[in-house]
Amino acid sequence: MYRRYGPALLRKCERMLKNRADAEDVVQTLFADLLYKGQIDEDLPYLYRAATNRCLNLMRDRKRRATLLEREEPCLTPPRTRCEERLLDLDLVTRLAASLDKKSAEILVYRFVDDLTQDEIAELLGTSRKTVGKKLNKIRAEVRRLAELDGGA
Amino acid sequence: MSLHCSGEPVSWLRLERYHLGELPEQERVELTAHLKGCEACRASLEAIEGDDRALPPLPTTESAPRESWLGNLFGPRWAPVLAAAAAVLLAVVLAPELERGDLPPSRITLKGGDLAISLVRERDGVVVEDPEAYRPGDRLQVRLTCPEKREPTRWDVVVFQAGETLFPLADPQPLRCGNKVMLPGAFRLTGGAPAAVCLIVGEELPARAELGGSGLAGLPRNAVCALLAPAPR
Repeated sequence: MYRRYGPALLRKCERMLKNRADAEDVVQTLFADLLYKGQIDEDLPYLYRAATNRCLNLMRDRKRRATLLEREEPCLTPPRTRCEERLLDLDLVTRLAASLDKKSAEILVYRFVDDLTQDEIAELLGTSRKTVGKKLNKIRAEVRRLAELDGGA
Repeated sequence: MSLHCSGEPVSWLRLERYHLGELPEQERVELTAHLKGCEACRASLEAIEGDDRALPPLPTTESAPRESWLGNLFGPRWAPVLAAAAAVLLAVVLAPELERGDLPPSRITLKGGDLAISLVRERDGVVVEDPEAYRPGDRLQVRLTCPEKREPTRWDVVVFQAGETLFPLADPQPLRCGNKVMLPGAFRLTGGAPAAVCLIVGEELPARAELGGSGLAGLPRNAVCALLAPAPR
């Protein structure tokens, strides 16, 4: 399971944390805990979600947030811009992820960092597309508010 | 550089599952068609396919299947989590002079966080984290994990091997806590007996002479140990 899914989770966490070493910490700890619980046959969507929450926990750490941008490193994966969200900046997203409630932060990451569709997010969270859409509308408003604040500074 | 997708970009999760061959057939066919016309998604998939960076270094094994299994499955970060059990087992099997009940685990919980020891072994230019075995001549270093909120504290490393108590590093020094802080100095083990490498932390450490006389029994509460078994020839 580690060999098969480890690389995908490392890439995913690296996109969120912008730091390979931190991503390695998260992924290894995740697999350690899974083993401890006897969970040795999980699929990628489950692991993806578990890794997302652990990365978010790390980002919520105040000290971590303070250093997040300073430690930014070139990301392996090429930049992509979602056509409908061109105005959103990844830094804003990651900053916001640290202050949102748990579920909203998770949705934010899936949508703006991992590029999941609303249907994919709904399936991953076991909720309805409508619920995801409502959350995203609130998140977008908050992201734009933050962007405007930064722009006015 | 920013690549603009012509429509809805395919999620990283779907691309990863595509790469792993885990998408249902219909989705796979649709995605293959999409990739032909979407430069951004194609570049993303190529980035996944081209990511040949190794997983985090894992403990290697000289002989024991147990070490290989653990190392390949878990990696060095969590070896400390399991090291207590492994150390106890090894102590019983390989080190009769190291009594099971006398050996502290490699990680304990303190107020504010964990205290943990981990080792780094260098042999012929190859670095292995959290080794479980050693050969004479291996270069060893100790890493300390302790709660960052703690004030600078003092530390010492003591090795118990074949009835002897050894202090391989310089005199105890103040150190600020953190995650896997590499302690200054390196050392090598000789002989062919299992060795317990223990780290003690605190404002007041037991005197080396005192600890040398009492052995493992003299370790304070704030002590964590890693066990190294001799690698078979």
